[in-house]
Amino acid sequence: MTGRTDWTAQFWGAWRTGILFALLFLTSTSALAQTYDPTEQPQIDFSEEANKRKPISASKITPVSLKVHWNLYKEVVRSGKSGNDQLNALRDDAISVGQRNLPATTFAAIRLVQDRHEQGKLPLDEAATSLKAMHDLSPALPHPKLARARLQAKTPAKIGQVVTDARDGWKLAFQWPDTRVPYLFNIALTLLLATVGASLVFLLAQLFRYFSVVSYDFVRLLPTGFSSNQGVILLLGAIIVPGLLLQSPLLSALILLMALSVAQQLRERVVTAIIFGLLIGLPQIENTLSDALTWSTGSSRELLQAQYTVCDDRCFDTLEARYRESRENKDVILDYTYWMHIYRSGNPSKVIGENGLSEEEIGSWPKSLQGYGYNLLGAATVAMAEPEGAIPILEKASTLVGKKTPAPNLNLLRAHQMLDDQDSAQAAIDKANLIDLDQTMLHLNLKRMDINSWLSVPALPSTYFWKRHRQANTQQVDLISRFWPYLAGKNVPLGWATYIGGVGLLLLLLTIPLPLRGVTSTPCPSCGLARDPEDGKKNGDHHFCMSCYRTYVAGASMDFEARVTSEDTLSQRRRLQELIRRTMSALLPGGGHATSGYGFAGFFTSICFFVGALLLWIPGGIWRAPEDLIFLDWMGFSIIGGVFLVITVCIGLYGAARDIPPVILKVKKFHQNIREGGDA
Amino acid sequence: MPEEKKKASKSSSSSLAALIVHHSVTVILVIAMLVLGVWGYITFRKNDFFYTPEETGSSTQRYLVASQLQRIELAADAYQKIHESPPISLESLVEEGLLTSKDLSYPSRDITYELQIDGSDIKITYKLERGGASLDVGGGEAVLEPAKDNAEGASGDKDGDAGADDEEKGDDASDDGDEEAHAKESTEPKKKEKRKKGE
Repeated sequence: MTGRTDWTAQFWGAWRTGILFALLFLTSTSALAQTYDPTEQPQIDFSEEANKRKPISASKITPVSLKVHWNLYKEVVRSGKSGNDQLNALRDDAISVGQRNLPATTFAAIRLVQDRHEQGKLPLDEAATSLKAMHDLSPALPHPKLARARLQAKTPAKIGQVVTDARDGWKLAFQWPDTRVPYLFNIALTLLLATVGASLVFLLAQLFRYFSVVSYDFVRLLPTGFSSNQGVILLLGAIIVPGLLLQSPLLSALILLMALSVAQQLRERVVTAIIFGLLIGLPQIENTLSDALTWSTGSSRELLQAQYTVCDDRCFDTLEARYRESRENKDVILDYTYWMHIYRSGNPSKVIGENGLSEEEIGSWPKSLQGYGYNLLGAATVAMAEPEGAIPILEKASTLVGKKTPAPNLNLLRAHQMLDDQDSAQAAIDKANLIDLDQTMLHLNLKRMDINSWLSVPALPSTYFWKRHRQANTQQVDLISRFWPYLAGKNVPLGWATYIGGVGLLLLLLTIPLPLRGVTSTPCPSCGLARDPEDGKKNGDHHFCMSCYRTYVAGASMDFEARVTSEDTLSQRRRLQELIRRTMSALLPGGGHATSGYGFAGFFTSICFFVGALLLWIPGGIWRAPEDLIFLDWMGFSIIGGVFLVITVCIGLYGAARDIPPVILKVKKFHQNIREGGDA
Repeated sequence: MPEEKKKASKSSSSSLAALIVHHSVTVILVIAMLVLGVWGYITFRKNDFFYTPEETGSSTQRYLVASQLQRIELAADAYQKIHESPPISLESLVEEGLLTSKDLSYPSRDITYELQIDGSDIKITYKLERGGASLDVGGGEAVLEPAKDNAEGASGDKDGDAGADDEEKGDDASDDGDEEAHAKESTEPKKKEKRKKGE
């Protein structure tokens, strides 16, 4: 008993420490999100030039200018400097022409910096500074941050910076849809496969633990005349025959789990409920995974790219054609992308023109998008030097977008500047500061007076594109249904999974009172055979079965004839149970625990083991994100996989070496009831 | 005494009933086993118990290929940024460290990618040695075509704006029913052009 308690305490202690560490890490680091000091007040340019009331021109930057900055950057990096200024100049020019993220340039720069640093021609600090500027160049991409974390990971003194960069990189990776969707898809698939693996281990463990108990109780249910052998054959038939007739091994396995679940204790029932729950949700999981996989070829991704990265003439032609086609079936995100590009390309007059975007039209958009639409309209109005008309529109936009973006307030600032109303301008900037200090500072640092630098028309939050994709996607990928027939056969389609899972879950819920009331037998902790609930009457509510109890009490002193079972037989059974537990634990971490009755801990350990193995085997997952160049494992999933694998293998080997004593189950108390006046 | 007799008689009749039940069950079980055995023999004489679906190529693979094409295209763009000239071959992307060698035959060994340079335009193509389905990436949108050996499985509209493409696909599929292993090729129109100009 003591050994078991110590072991369990150690096991759970380790996991709790891990969870606590993770929580502390997450909560402590989440407070460090802002780059700028909140006490730092952004300086507004109230010079005469800035306050002048005049139409704001389109960008005068040409593609050659971008190329010049890039070539200069390469030269500077090759000479051993960070090229920070050149990248910042490139960024400012890119913003001016309406390009906020430059993936190809960013990856080229990352590779260049890595290459020079590996050759020893670019010092670590310079390389890190360069990568920081790359993040400013493409703020939506997680790769510059992750590259910086990788670069500095070998320097112990930089560990704090590595943690910060890795955290920021992870955060961005799960915000930017081109990485978030593939990563979540891969994680979901890994978890699904791990759960399937863990379920098989659990089923095997429960088979060892409960089959004799279920057989015994089944025979008890049968009328007089049925022998034990006949009962077992009938039970086996009930499990095997449906699967045999439908040629479905999975069906038999699930019927077996249903049968075993009748005798399961609550902890094990939780795991069985998870398995049946997963089965119920399997068709829906396939739909969700399907939506994810079709993301990279969907039109929503194109719209995202058009808003967040670069949209050239060809891209605009496609946009325009779609915009014209979609006039009857309103597609608000497409509309916004179209008008946004009209604005960015230097035609704000078209936006507010006769056939342009009107307040009425924006009013018919979904509430969540109206704010962005009004902001675009307001910015275009400011650009045409009509601040009086823009202010009410932008104030409406500011109210509607709330804290999602400071853009309407930044545009309000410009409108008030045009009217030389410094107090209102200051109030607008104060509001913008409260929403996003980093973005406000960056915006105020852009000194060019063109429509993309002086005013702010942000891209829609990336989540909107994903929602659009899910609504519009009609493609179904045979991700699960392709492999389902291998397990379930051709006669049991995936659609049945919901019903089979439902039946299993229902049976599980309906039979909960059986173990609680002590109606079902329990596995004897010593020999593993069934302990009849009625045994409590004869053995003083001891948790052993009668054979083990009598031998335990009388020992070997009894005459041979008086013994129920010989010590040899009992000893063999005990050793067999121990062997099964140890072998399961050694071969399949978590299996030993599930065999001993620690169902949930065993299942969880098995999942972690399979997750670790899968992450180590294919660190980037089966879907390689469209923007994951250079490394396959940007996120360091292989490290996580390695840690999971080592921990779970250690748990398994420890269990194999020390044995995992079975859980002592609560048994029905006959004698206690008698003492308390109850009816035994 | 009469009560004991009654009990004994009751017990005796109960034992007899149990005996009858036992033997009846045995007979039923034996018959059931025989029937099951005969049925199993007839059913599985020619077929395996474990079902193996026909290898028709997964639609999953086609999306993975589409994503891979986007990666290679981005890598080629990045290469051009570094060297001011397009890559000579895909291997040069590997040598540059932008891709790994396994990227050039992912997601399966049956798929290989090729780089074609047409002036300043870069065209990425892929070849499928057997199975699967072809796909075409155009204008930033991959259009999925049904495989010649999997026309039904690959059809479908995407976001409601690829209907015309799908019709074409259906025609292609019905026209060509070649079941032999064959190479399929798909080209990627000049998406390169827009990136180059944009950036």
